[in-house]
Amino acid sequence: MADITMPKMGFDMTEGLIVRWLKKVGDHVNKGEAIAEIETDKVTIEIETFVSGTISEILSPAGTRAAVGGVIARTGEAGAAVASKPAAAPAVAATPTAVAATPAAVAATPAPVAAAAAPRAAVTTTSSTGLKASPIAKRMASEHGLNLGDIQGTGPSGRIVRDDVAAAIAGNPTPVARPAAAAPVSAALPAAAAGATVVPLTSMRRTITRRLTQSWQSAPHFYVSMDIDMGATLELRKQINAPLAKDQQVSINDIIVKACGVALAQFPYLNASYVEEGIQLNPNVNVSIAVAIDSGLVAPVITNTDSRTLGGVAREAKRLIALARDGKLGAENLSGGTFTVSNLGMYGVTTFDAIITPPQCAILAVGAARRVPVFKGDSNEVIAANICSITLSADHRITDGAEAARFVAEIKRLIENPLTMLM
Amino acid sequence: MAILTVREALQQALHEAMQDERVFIIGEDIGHYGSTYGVTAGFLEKYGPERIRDAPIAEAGILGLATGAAMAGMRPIAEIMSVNFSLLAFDIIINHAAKIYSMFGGKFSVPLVMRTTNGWTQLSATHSQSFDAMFAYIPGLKVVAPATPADMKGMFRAAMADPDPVIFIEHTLMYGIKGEVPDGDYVVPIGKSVLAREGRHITVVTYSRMVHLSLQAADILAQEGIEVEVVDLRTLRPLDMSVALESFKKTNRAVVVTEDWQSYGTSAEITTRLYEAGFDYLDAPIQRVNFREVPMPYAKNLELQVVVTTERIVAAIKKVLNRS
Repeated sequence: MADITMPKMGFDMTEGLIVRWLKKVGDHVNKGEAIAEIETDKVTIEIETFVSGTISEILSPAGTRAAVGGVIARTGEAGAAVASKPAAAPAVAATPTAVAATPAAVAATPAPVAAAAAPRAAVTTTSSTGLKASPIAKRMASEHGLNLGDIQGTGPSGRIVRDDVAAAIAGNPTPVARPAAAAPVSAALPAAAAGATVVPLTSMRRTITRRLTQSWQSAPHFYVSMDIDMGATLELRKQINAPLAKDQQVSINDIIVKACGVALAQFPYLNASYVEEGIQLNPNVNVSIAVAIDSGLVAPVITNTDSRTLGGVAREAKRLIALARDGKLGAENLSGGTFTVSNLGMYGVTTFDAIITPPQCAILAVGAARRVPVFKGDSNEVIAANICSITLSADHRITDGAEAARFVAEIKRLIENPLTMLM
Repeated sequence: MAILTVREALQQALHEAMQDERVFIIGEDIGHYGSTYGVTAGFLEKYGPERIRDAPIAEAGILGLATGAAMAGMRPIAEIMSVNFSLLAFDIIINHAAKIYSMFGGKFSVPLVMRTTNGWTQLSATHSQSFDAMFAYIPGLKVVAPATPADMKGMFRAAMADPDPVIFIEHTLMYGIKGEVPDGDYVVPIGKSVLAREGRHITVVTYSRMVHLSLQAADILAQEGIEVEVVDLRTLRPLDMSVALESFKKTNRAVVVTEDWQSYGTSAEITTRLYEAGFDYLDAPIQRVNFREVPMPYAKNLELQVVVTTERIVAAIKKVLNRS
């Protein structure tokens, strides 16, 4: 007997949703084989088993959530389990423990009737362990597009009750025990215009909705903008890229990401997370890059951005963007980000304000580099310059305006003196 | 507006009813003795033995006579001293009074009012019961159980005006309860429930004497910041759940308090109605507070274990609110 547990697919993952099982009770699995598809806050991914054996029990059926480390299935040793249990009989289907006996049948014949029936019985018996929520909690969650699995229940036996959903709607996902109280939740949605169609939220849309709403409502955002002269960076990029094949070339965004990485290493509070106990200074500098894809938005992470070379950043960014476009990003690519760079320059956007991605402290919104007339130094001579506006959104719980300004100024200094980043 | 006891309010209502020449009162010990709970004291002297009729201990006879008189155009008030004695008249009430209108094609109606009492206090097993559910179960009857002096007066007036047999349920432990009663013509319609207290955390649905205990429970819980809304149903048939449901949709939680046994009792119907119409608003299982399901003990200490107390209501409310 061995346990198959919910893996931790990222440093802030606490639980996973079983989307579907790729194996059923009675199936033999080899170490490293994909057994189920799970969904975390960030990604849907197949998980692999670390043990070989025959699946004897599925404890978290599709559609349920399991905590990280929680047992989601068990394997029974073919043979050993057989010896210790009576032969699988029709009555077996009633109890999950008896299902453990089915490996025998599997081993004996390719598709015996008993084995086929057993998995279904196992799923039925365990599905009652699903989420408990009161009818009004379910209705409110559905009306607000919330996933009940994301809400902590405070009712008897962990039942999700009205106030838990109200708290989640209010963007306070850690519900405080309070009397039946308040929560003036308007149950009714505004009447939809006649003829309107409602597009159901995709899992990604729901995640974006939930996380950014939470950020917007819990993190007091403030903004610091600055103009950067891109002249030196554009010149350097030209020199770097000249001998390189197209797929090796460095983008402006890569240089900005690298600059952020270097600056973040000097400003630990901009590389921090607001947690219940205080301000968590994250040990690594991992810059996420926002990538628009057909179904929405993902932000893969360039780990250790500060210590990678510019070329290393560029190569990693290219690889991640390709994975993102192909929908192949894994949880390891999406978790652990400590800062985000969002660039809408390619669309001609000059400036914009971004919403911080929790649990990060800040996000940098990068506009297009544009040719504008500027005064040359202190003189009255007007020259052409390539100016790029950047706007930092920062969490006021963690940092303040002056620090944010110094941080943005450091990014400006690095980009305007890009050689300092290459040393 | 005068402050009256339930007894005084009923006396006022009965005196008003007696203004109608078709009205007479019949019951055990209502004349010379002035009735067990003193409600008709002085009536015999005032209205004479023709209209204030002491009856033998024969409940079927009392109700049978009242039913016939009602069919013949009179407006009888039949007093059954204790609801426990009404068992002897069940055939008349259920198979005659409640059925005549529909079985005779509407040619006769039975506009009688049967006054009776619930209650306990060391009256032992056979004299401490409630048959509210048994009356309320019967189509053709109307069943009212007011809680306040004002409602006693106003609903008695409505009962007298009603063309159908009305079971008017009083309570031996409520006759001394005081409250404001509007002067003069005052009618409270049958089949209209009412908010007895506003609150926003939980709804207590109840009627009759339990309204008062529920209000006491609400007072106690208010000190802990729990705001209890109390709904007084006032009528059991026809049962008006509109106020209770309105409240439930606001609070999402309910406790149903009735002074009868739980299984198949009035709370079963009330709770079911809340579940049926309020399902989407439900946030916690509804709790019920009722008599414990045993024949009522005579011993005082045991009796107090069986009956509904304020403490039990408070505990049920806290349980629903998941507060200990």
